[in-house]
Amino acid sequence: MLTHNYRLLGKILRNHRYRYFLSILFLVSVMAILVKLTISSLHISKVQVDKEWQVQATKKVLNELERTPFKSTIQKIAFINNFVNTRFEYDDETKLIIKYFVLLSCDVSENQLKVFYTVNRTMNSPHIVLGFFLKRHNQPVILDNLSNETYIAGEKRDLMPVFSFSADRYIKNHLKHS
Amino acid sequence: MIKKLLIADDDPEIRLLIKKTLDLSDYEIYESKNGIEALGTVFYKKPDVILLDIMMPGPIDGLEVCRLIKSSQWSSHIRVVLLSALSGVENLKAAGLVDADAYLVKPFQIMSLLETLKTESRCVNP
Repeated sequence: MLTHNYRLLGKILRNHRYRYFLSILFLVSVMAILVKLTISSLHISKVQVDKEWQVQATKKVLNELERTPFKSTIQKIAFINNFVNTRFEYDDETKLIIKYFVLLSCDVSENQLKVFYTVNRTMNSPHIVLGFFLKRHNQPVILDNLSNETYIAGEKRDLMPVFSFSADRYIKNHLKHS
Repeated sequence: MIKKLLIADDDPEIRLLIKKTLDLSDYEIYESKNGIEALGTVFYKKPDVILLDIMMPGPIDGLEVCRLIKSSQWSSHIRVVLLSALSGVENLKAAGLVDADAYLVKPFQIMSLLETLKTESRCVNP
């Protein structure tokens, strides 16, 4: 049976028409593998670029922070908010992530940062902000991408809070799926 | 009126099954595969009814998502149907504590899913 199969294969390979068909099949398979490899390498480099810009953006803010004297932590937070809002042209989510990494680099603990899903009362649109808790039971200071002024939550009358949860959870989930 | 339905379950087969079941119905369907994603969809799409799996991977499980939705004035009217493979009293109690509107034990009959959705959709404010 096995000998018969080998003979049949030999016959097929000797036949010019089959040989032509087999070489085309081989070429198509090689091309498909190459395309697949290119797509996956593009995906990998996209993730690397994402991480790279996060690092670069954070470094840029930290360099600026080193050059600026601050009287209080709140003043420093306000500076970070303003700097990220005015110097980077990213979407809401990305600016929030940069602020999160900058604050962590400034020795702020993960427990002090919360993500707030809010509705902007003026525009009636969903809006995401970062809250910084200086002390555990205090009201958070809101780092808002739409405002260069920094207020505590009670004074932010333009935003209606909807959901809030630890920023750490949000960032981890975002990075996992980016 | 077309109603918005969110299916939040980490199992793609369950999501697909529910989606196929409701293919010809009047639902605009959204999908989420974890708690944070589900909250984002609730926030940006504001569904009328949510089919929410309790045990989802990631930092926020179904019970926490339900608690957040029901405790916010903005979203408390959204009908939440919890899905779980567990039918114990403790789980039913937990579902009650987070103010879920209904509870379906997996594997559920398609008829009971449709019946639950019909009941919950009736409760949605036009």
